[in-house]
Amino acid sequence: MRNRILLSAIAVACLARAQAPETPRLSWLRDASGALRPLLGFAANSMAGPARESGVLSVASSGTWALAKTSRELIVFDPAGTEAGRLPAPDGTALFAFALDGEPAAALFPETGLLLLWSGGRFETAGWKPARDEEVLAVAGAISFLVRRGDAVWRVDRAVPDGRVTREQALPGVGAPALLRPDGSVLYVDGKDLVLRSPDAGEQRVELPGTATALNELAGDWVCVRLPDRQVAVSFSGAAPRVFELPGGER
Amino acid sequence: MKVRLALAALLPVCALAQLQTVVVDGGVERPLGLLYDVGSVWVGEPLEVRFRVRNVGTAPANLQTIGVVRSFASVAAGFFPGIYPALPCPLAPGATVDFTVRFAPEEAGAFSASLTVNVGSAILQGRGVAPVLVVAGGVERPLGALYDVGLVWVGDTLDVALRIRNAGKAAINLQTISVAGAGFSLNYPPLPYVVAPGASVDFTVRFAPGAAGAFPATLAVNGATAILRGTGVATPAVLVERDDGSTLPLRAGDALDFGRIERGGAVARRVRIENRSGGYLRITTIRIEGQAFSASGDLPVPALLDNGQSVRFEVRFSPQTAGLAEGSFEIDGRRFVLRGTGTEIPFPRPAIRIQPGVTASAQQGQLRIEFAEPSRAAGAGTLSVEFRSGVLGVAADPYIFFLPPSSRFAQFTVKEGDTRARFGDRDDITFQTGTTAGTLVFTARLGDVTEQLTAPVAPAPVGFDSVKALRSGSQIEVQIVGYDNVRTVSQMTFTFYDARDAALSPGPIKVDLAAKFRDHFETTAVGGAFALRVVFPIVGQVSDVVSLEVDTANSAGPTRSSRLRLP
Repeated sequence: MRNRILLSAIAVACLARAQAPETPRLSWLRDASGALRPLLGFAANSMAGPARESGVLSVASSGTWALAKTSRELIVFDPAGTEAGRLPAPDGTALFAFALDGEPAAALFPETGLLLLWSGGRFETAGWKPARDEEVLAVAGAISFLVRRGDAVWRVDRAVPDGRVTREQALPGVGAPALLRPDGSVLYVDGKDLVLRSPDAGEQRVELPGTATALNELAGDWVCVRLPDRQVAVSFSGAAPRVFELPGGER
Repeated sequence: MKVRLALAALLPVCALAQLQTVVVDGGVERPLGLLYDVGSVWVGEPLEVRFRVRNVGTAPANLQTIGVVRSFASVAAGFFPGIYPALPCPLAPGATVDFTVRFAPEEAGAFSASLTVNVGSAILQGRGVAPVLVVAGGVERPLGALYDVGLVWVGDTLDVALRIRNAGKAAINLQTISVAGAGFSLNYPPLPYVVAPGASVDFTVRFAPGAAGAFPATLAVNGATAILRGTGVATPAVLVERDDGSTLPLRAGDALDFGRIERGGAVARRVRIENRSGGYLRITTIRIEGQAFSASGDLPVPALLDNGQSVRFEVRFSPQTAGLAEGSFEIDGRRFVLRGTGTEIPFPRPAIRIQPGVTASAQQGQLRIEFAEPSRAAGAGTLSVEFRSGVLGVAADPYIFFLPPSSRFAQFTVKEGDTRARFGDRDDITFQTGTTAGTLVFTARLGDVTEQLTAPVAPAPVGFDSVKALRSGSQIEVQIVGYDNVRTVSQMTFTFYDARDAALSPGPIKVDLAAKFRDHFETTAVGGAFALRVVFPIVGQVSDVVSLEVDTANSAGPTRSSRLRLP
């Protein structure tokens, strides 16, 4: 029986459909002027494409989907790079979260505490807000937060329906800026190092060519680290961490 | 009129029986013949010719008439009645009376007129010469009958620019120019020289007194004369002492040229003031002017120099900026030019260093510009990268640039003491090698120095940046991001494995991609990069397919991906 299924599968696979090769698009980035641009190529060989939006305050991408925040709007781009939605948003920056499959998961607007959750292909208001006395550093899919409590950074998981805290975990040694990844790992900055703390508490470090001021999801394993004068892409996957400079920085 | 002229010719004025007319020139009486040439005068400088009528008879006589009439040969009226006595004028035997005729030509040329005294007559002729103009500071003014060129230091020269302008309606034929007098010389165009109406001709008179004192001279132009006067003033010789012991004499107005030296540097020249006048000379003031020029040490003034004695001082040239610098020094009013050129301090030759190992496609590397020695200069330079494609039919790769600023050009700066150029706050700059085989040519330009580094990007097998496979319903979608830096990939082979890492039958599946890749590389400007999706429809348990490998090849060699496990 097993052999029959596999033979059948391979027989169909011989009729593979290959699409025409395309220009690789790694992600999206916010350039030095605040314009949103597709990031063409791949990390070691990238180029900023034409501007798609101006006045962008925050951007993040899972490598397929992308979220961008202007002063008044939240914009959603689908894996084809097409604008899939545009909805009003409060002033200020935003924190974005993606699911493991790359789809959007959440958007948090720290200035107002408004939390939007992705459901059924669109954003909906969560109906509750994270605690206002905590500085939210990052948000991750359904639904976890990195928050600063005094000098310490905590991971706080909340129930989607009502925001009830379901789990709290102190993360000693973790500092800001920080990013909570969909797989539960935490990226944070320690001096000039970017540190990846895995869910099992193991850590990997890589020295950055400057002091990081912000982190955001770039694509898959890649995160974007904003430095005072440029942006770099960092990945901890593979034999050793990799750091590549991204276009669109400023000197 | 003709008859009267003819009579005048037959009965010369001097030949009248009782009244005799003579010319009085400088107090000396000369007989007046049938023709009298008053000579050449400058236009605008009238000449008064004095005549004297004497009763040489023994009985009283009357001077009845005096007349001056322009002749037909004259270009215009040049002769005019001057001062006449009251007529008729009785003259006792032996008595005389004077009258004058004015020669005042209004333009250059020859003039003639008939002078009649009672029934006798004579022809007067003369020439008007265009006035000589002194040209100074672009302004013309008449030379006049006497022109003082002024004081000139002995050993120096003074050139006076002169001009003859033809303001008349007829051409002037300039036949003679001369200057007679010690210390004066002329520089003029070849003669004869025709000056057309409205045109002018320039020439110069040089005054170079060989000794102290007054020097008169006569300037003559077509016979008209003017007096020139100059004064030589005793002065010491001014000599620049060369390093080889020789000296360079300077005359007023000459330049002491310091040549080219680096900005911030300094060079001095020694100047000797030597008394060769034969007597005592007093040096009162020495003044040095010009931002880049100064005295090196004390100036030796005041000084009293006996004949043969000398004093020295040093002039220092120390430019703080690049470019031509001019100044002057004066010794008791004699001015000498100081001149020198400040040059930029040269930068040391830059050496372009790129991060070792960064010579392949799809890489980022760091580039530095280093100097073998600390730079003594500060400034900015440019760095560029040019790509020379090694792939037939491919000219460019837009992914080859520096970042920031995502450009093939970047600026760098160098401060004094730097051993590395700075790119903003960094001492290196990142560059991308792109995804096309060829050669990167880095060029650094700094000051007058250009340095190049050539870095080959070798042809390479297809590179996989990422290979992903996703189960989606009854299919498996393979997503590949990679590059082919020689653009010759034509097929890919996919091998699927089961949980025991055994290749699933029928084994490797070849997918012909030649046409698709050819179209992609011909129609997109992405270098050799590509994103490819291949979908394999599955009938059965998709989950039984747990890993895959991708093989491909181009003209540079084969490539095999690592074994990819499906999520």
